[in-house]
Amino acid sequence: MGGRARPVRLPWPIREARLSRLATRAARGERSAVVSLYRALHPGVSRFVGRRVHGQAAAEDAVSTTFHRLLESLARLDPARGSVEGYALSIARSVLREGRRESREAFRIEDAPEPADPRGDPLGTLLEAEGDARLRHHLAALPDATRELLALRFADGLRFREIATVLGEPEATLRQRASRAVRELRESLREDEGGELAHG
Amino acid sequence: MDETVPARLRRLARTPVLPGEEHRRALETQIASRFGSARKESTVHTVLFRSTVVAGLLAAVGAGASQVPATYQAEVGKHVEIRTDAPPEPGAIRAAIRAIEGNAGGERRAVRVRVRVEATPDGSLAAIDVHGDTIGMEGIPDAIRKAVPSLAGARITVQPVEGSVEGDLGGMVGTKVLGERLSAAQIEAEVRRDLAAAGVDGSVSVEVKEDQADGESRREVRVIVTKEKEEGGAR
Repeated sequence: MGGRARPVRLPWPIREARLSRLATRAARGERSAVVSLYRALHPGVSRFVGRRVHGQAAAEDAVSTTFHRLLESLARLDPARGSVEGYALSIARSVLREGRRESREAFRIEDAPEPADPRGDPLGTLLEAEGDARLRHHLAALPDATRELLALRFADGLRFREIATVLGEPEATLRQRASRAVRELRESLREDEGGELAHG
Repeated sequence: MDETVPARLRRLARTPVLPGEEHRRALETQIASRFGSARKESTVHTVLFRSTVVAGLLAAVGAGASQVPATYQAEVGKHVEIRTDAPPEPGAIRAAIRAIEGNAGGERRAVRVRVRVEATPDGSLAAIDVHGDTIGMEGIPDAIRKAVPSLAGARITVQPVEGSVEGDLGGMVGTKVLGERLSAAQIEAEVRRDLAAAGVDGSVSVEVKEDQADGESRREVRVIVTKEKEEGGAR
């Protein structure tokens, strides 16, 4: 073929198209497609679950249940109507909720700030920790649904199409809601900084 | 505040507690065992490749070949450069992209397009990256010139874009042996080496057929891996 080789990451649409083809074949009972689909989805499902449970045993339990349930429902999956990965995560979300295993936030809301690294920039680290604490405080004040949306978008790194499949809501609505939430968080943080300057 | 709110939210994300590797493998075995319980696996995995020169069919039959994951370099799209003496007319590049996409053969698959237009000392350069797995390479310059008369005099070059593909062994073998003009003996040697490297054991049969008709060369590669299924699998 010749020509230069330009290393690129496989574009997301091609990955999604491949997952759709695998899901269609898996739904027909093709064993090789089932295994390939499992291997393709396992990392994402594991990370999603692992951010929301305490301990490896709980993570393994939830991941197992998610995949068994996914395979049982493959016949009902229509790749044309949503993201395959989003569908798998919607099942994981349901499993976590049913088992009440979703005992943590995807964001480290209740965690204490990390201790300052004495080898680094102590003042910078302290300011960053204070900024993070304020952000966690404002996050905690948001409605549960908004916090979950931000977690799916920024902690899990999902695309809005996938989030729409997970939450069962229109993509455009979710985009607007996320944009508004980020704007409000930014304004709240600015107000905090303004207050500090006024008192400084 | 230097760091944006989205960036800070990403940094606040928890580090996930991941399932162990042993659990991942055990679950895969459980899941695989739920699909098909015949002593000899009979799943047929078919990958079809087309090009203007070579048409090939690779069928990997058996427990091993179609299930073994493999990451390999394969062509995932085209990098097209259009050089003109003057900046392209409005809409010309969009029309060129449509012409490239129209070169995607019968089945249109996912396509992502990235475009960069810049002024150069001798005119203008439009660089178009089109990602898609069924886009033909041969006719792109002519297709663009025909669809966009204002680009008839443009200097157009096309290069393949390669990417790392997470697929299975069947796809890897097919891409390698059908993308090059290898002899039948070379194909068989390549396939056997790939299977061995991927840890596929069992009885391997490689059959290569070639024929020519209507000026088109057709090559069919059939790989059959037969493996005794282990007794007493989970579930």
